[in-house]
Amino acid sequence: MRRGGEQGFGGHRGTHPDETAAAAVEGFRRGERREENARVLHDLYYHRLRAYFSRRGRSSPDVQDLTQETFIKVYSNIGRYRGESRFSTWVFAIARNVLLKWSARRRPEETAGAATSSGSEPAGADPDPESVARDRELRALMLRAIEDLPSRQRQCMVLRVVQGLRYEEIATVMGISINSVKAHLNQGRNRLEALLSETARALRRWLPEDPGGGRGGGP
Amino acid sequence: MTAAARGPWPPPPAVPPGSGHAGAELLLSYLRAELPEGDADRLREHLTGCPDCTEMLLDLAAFERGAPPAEDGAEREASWRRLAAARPWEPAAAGGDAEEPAAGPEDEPPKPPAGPPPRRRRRWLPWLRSLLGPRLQPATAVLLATSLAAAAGLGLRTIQLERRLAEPRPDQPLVDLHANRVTRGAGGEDEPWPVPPGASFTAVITPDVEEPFPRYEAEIVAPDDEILWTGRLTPDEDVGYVTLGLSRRKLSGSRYTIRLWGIDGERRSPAGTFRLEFAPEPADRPPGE
Repeated sequence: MRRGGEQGFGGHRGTHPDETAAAAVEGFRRGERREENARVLHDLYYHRLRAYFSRRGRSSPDVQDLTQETFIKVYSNIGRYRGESRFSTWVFAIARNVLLKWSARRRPEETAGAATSSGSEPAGADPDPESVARDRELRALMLRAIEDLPSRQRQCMVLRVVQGLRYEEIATVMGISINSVKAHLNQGRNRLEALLSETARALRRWLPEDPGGGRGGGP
Repeated sequence: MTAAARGPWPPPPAVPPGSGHAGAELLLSYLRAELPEGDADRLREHLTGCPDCTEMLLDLAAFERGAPPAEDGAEREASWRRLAAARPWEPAAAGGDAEEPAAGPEDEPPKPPAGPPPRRRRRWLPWLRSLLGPRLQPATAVLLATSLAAAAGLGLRTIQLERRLAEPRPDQPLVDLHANRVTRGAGGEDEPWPVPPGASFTAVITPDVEEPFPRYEAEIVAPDDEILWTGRLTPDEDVGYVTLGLSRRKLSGSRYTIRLWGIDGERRSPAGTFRLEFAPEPADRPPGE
């Protein structure tokens, strides 16, 4: 079975560590060679945990602390792992919870820091309500036009325009290469321009011409 | 990738319909290209409209890739040395947060104390004597104490039952409950209910939430919508499960619903509806019913 994209998820096709983990977890739970099995699990998940915490924008010392804390939770709770999900997702769930709790503990200081820095900034000019409304209308018009794009182009455009993802992130979500993402976005953009130009032309046809030629006209 | 290569885990859950969220298990299957084409397409469509699931997918992707940085393994080795010093896998350290295990030979189980356990002193006898007078005989005292205990037991029965609902016991069978699914048995719908009538069991509830809550509120509802019990629960571990000690003596009917809410300060959000269905057993009902 293969995901439909041109490129499967890179790096771990057929080499994921769950089978190794399963044996280590089973040995660990039976109380056999705990330290040895703990080491196996540590080496399997060390870089994974670091990569996850790094992606969440944590500094290197924080990543180190979070990784250690996650391993401690994993080892302490391993007796409660019931094998309903893959061990990887179980470890991932613990890492998420560790990060959530850690962020909640840090939040007051971060909030205080943010308040101080934002307080020193000069007050920016309020956006013009008219331009805000115009932007909103244009965005709605564009989103409606995106809906008419072919499936892949539409999905790439939504991930880019609405969710604000980077090319490589879109490639991961879509399961395709970055070059394919660029191609889909380019084709989508061209098609959108064509669609919107057509709409603009239609509007010009339907709207009545101003007989006076604009302001100042009159008898 | 074939199902056999996935290991001894159940197949991933179905792609969520409508506005439901995809769980980590499903997203991981997608990343590992294990989903059939139709499911992958549906999930891709879901991701396009669901920033939360997209974010989790990207987190999982980072976790899956986990490429070692350009280092010679020194950091990993240092990480392991710190863990090995703390030995959090030792039973004594399990559940503790910062306790250093006592120094001792490796893998040696803790020794039980020598000799029989010390006999508990009967602290209640002097107290009862002071209450009823110095001429109280031990036999009378025992009789009185038994009667008092029985009366207290009867009077506190409701409280004990309520407490039993809230306090799971590790020696009881575990029953997994998932949102929007009828749980009839631990291993599948056709298997007999693993908890015999009258026995106690621990329901392990997986809240249907994107982000875990610090506390939950649960309601046990009978088929006629009568709320039998309500109480607050704290996830007792870091994997987000909520456990609830239940007794079939208390739940003598055949169908119940558990409603769960996540509580965060003043915020109260639905965290899933869990249906519990006991297989009809003749022993459940008294003769002649």
